[in-house]
Amino acid sequence: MSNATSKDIPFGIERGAFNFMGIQSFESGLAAGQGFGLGQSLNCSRFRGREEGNFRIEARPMSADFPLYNSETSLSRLGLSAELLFLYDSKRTGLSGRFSHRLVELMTLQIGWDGEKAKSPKPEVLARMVGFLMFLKRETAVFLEPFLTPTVEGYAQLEWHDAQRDLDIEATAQGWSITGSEVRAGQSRDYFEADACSREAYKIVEAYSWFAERKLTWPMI
Amino acid sequence: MADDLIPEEIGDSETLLRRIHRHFFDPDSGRISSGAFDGLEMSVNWDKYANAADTAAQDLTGNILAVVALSAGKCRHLEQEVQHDPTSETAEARANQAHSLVRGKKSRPIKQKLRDASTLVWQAEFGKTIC
Repeated sequence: MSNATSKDIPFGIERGAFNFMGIQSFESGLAAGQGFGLGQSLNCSRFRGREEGNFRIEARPMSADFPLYNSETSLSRLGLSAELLFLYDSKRTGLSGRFSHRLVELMTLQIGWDGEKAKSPKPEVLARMVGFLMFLKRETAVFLEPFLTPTVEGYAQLEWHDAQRDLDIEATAQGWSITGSEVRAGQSRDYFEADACSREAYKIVEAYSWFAERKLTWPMI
Repeated sequence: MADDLIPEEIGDSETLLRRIHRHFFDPDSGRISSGAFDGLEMSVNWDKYANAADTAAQDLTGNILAVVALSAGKCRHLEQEVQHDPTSETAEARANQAHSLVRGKKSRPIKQKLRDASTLVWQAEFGKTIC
């Protein structure tokens, strides 16, 4: 392949970059084993299950306009703005590297990421999530890092689960939507919901405390 | 809807299968996100025409981690319409006689209730039907 560059890279970070760069040809022992060949489009999702390993790729950008591979700018190749890359830095946010990794993964989702019609998560929504979690970590005695998931409408949701309770906090256009559920005696389940505008972080903190501190009753929010 | 495939009535006792994308699966808790049960028209397969493994295999993205089963009657109980919606072959996908829709507004509690009403029947890690 002409104009190709190569590097051993951690796949977990790089899979979003593949879609963004539109890499159209590559050589890799792993890739060949997955049924890909030169000249075929790279569907990065085919590499499911290979997230923790390293593999070697040779990639040729689709046109001269695409940036060539450069190991010194690996995050820049994700095509994210400086403001969003700031979010990735777990040292600055105080969130785990795993969570930051997940955040980058969501940032790079393309339209139709679910195989249907899902929208890409809005960057400002993810930024709001991080801001809220930094606040929550600072303001609460017990900080449990949530599971971060995209929504098909282009927003995102924070989730906490344990054997008895579930708490979902979804960022929406208007602010936040909060849903809790709890297993009662007899295995029936009670459901609770509340809304909060962007200035009502205290409502979310109360709902979070209900989950994390095992408060007896759902807060009156 | 496919021109050559006639939609049928789906009874309350019938089972619907829903693919779960890896982004909706929390590996720590093993729980499926309520976000997996969203959309005014949520696509499912009617198990009369496709089993769980078939349903998983229809996905071409390679990102499906699980398939869950839902009862049609339970969906209706949660203010949803259940409609058989067989699809024709296209350039991107084969015809799917099992394709059906769970149609209706899904409020946040409804999404959680759909999640809680679902049963895991196939998981990619094992690549086989669980039950």
